[in-house]
Amino acid sequence: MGVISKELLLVIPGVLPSLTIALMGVMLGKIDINREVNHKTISNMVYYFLTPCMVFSTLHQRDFDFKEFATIGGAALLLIAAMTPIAFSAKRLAKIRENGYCLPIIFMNTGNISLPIALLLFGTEGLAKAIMFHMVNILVLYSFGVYLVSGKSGIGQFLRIPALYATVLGILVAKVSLPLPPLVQDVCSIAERGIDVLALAAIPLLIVDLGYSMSQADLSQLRNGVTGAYLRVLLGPVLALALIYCGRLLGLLPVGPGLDPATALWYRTTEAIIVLNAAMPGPIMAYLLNVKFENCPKQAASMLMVGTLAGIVTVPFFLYVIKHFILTG
Amino acid sequence: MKATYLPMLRIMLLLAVCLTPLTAEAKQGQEKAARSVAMILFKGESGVEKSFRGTLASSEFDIHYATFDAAGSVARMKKNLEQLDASKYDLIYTSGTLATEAALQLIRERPVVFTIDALRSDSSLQKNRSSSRNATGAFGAVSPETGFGPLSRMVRLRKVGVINYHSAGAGPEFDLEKAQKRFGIRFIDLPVSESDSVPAILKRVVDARVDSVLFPSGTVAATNAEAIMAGLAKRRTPSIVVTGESASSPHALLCLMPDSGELGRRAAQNALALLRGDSPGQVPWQSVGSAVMEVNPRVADRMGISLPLQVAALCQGQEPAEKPAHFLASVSKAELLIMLRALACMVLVVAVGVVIGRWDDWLHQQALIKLNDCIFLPCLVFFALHRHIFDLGEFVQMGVAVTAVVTILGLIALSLNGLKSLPRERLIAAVSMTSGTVLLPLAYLLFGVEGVAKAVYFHLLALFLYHAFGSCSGNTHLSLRQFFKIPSLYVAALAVALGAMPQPAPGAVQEFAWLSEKGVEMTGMGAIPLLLLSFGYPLGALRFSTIRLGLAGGWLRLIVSPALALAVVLLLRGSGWIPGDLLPNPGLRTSEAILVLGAAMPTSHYALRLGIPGRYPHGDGESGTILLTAIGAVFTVGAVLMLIASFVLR
Repeated sequence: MGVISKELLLVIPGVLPSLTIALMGVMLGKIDINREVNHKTISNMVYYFLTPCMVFSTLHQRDFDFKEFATIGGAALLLIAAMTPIAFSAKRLAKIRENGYCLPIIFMNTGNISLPIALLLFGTEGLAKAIMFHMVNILVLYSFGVYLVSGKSGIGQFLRIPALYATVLGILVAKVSLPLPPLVQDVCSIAERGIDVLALAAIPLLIVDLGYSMSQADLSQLRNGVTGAYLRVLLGPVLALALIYCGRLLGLLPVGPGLDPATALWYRTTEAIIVLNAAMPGPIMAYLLNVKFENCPKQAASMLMVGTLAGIVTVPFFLYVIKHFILTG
Repeated sequence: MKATYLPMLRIMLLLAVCLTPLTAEAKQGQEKAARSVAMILFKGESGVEKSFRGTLASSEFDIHYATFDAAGSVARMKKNLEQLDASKYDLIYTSGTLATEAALQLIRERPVVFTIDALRSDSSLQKNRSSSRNATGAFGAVSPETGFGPLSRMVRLRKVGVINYHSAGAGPEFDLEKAQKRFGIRFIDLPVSESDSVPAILKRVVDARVDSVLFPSGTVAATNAEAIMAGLAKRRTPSIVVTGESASSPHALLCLMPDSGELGRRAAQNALALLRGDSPGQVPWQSVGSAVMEVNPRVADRMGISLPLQVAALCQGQEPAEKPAHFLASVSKAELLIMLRALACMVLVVAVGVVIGRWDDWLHQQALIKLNDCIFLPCLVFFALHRHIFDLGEFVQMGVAVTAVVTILGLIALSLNGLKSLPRERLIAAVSMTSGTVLLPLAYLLFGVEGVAKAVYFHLLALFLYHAFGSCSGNTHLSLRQFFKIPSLYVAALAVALGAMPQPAPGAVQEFAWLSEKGVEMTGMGAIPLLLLSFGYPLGALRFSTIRLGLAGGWLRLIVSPALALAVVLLLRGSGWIPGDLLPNPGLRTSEAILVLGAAMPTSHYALRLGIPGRYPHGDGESGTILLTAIGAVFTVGAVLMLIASFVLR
């Protein structure tokens, strides 16, 4: 087999393409001396148009299963709930008063890194499940997360997320089948095609944007965020594995040789998506909230940076764990 | 005198014309010898039988047919054969392996002519070929390889699973190693048996992570084949089916089958030889290699696969049944839908670009340009070219055609305005087309990856011409030195060089290369909307009041330019440089289509930006041309696509 072992080959499909794209983003950041790539323009494009298109494009083409949504959403809520006391303990140990320190530990970057890996490793099925996890994570970040850093409920902010409406619309289109006349059906299919085309840019632009942002990082500030970042990328997936173990024991996530292969595949992909998301570093949105409410932004920035860099090692490791202990175990 | 005889002469001529065929027919009828043929059918009459009857009808025999149709029931077919008094017939015709094998067991004294879509190597007919003294006929021998050309235009093929029913005794009829070397695709053998459960087979397919699954000839008859195809369709894995039996399969994306007309004709030729007195042993079995293709647009839709225009034009199933009354009627509904979808999609994405531009107050177009020029466009170029077989002859043909179009258009623009009084900006606005931001995405939406590859050639050639002409006019921003700074140029060269190299060793290295490519492919696909967004971004800044000033340039750009391109294409065909018979080579037709489509593109911002640096948005004349061509192109490109579908792709 040579340098690349078979085990490694099972893990790198999800990571190598994303790394290639992120590297291109880093290179662009390095050659763009005049800073012509305006971050706000890119963010607006991704946030208001491309991500909602990707969410709709993925969800409307498959059946919506409430049980699936409940399993994934429930797991996301439990993981956030489990990480919250750990984050507060870390804050107390670091002798920091602001709650903003906790945000990058509690929440996960379920957008930039997790979605492309889910797509590459588990196909559109995996992407749809990852989007469900992402939506729940964002819901809690914009309500509980905003409350932590500002003392106010951020539900209004949450209701302004375009991807939320894309999710609802995608589920509605998948679930409700109206007897439309052929002409209307043709018009709808044309609109769907337009949305599908816009969705093509979402994932690569998310990763390029991440790479571009990383190229501007101040490496001297990294040590401030080491503890929080490692709690996020190491403890998060361990908690997820424990959660899955409990789910299997309780029979919520059944295993066994008698199980229909297609059903088994469904459960194992769900479990894999839960662990994958739990292994993600903190989200960029947490940093932006910290900046907005002036709540510990420097530590949050370094936590994100350390977490993302550590993810280069930890994410492939947990993908290996997923492959061996969830998908084939 | 003349006036009196003229009506009578006319009536006599008319009568003569009307009666001639009748008398000729009567004469023929008298000469024809009567023969009787028993048609043993398993599942009704198909195009094969129609062609068989048609060929026999034009022979010297007057054939009477007796049809025994089993309507898909094996028991009924056996009953039909048992009740058949073969001695009453001069010839027995059988359709399909089942009917032929059963007939040959019972009928010994009469000659049997069969037609079989796909002759399985394990069938008793094939095994007892030498001992079947009273049988002859025609069978389909379509190579599955024929399907890879069209399918690779729809989906990116890297790993193809090949379904093989080893347990049924049929060895793999498809030479995996040979095909692997020829196409650079990794074929993965998927041994299955008819007793395997469908979910277990699907799991095996999912684990193999294949892009599509091939059902070679003979495998579709298996009991679980349809269920496997249905499961694959649900998981958006396309199935390629090689058979005639599954033409109506609701789950297969692509069906390749022997040309039913040819199959029927060949069988009829054998039948005629027998009716003329030859013994079946003297008439060799005929194999039909020519194939027809059927793509199921519903399955493509469900899988999110956009059907390229050239494939839709090739598909037999989508051709209009009757001869069209005018050229536009020759465009099928499927083709119209593809065009409409591509155009509407383009308009939608460009409109989003306009909105983003307005939000930004048009301040950050450079962000999009930088992203496209440095990352997304080079990735798209690499993705389109590195698996595309580079044909130097075709590239030269395109180069000549693009140069001819741009030069003639430039000369017309110059002559219209007078050599000295022409402002350079107007000339650039009229001559330069958006070969990058609009043509590349549109080529992908209409013609798939192959279209992008051809559009990349067009784009680079057009850029070379702008820079070469600019260099001649002394413009420092439009010089050949600037041309050689374009990243996509080097990426294109790298991709062509990699494509020309022999395939890397299979295994880990190949897998590693594919994974790196996957990242490039994802980014390249991202270029499709980003290029269109970049085109739309500055449009909102242009004033509608300037449109009037852009009329002359717009007319040249949108009407004269595609007309010139079409004329050049037809001229090249007429001269014999491009083969006129294009059906066997859809690649050439795509090149021609891209050439005409590229010539119909709106005015390029890029060329104007380089031509008039530091002044953007431009003067009213150029702004008017840009705006007019951007809006007008929605209609003119639609019309040009109809022309392409009618004159170029057919």
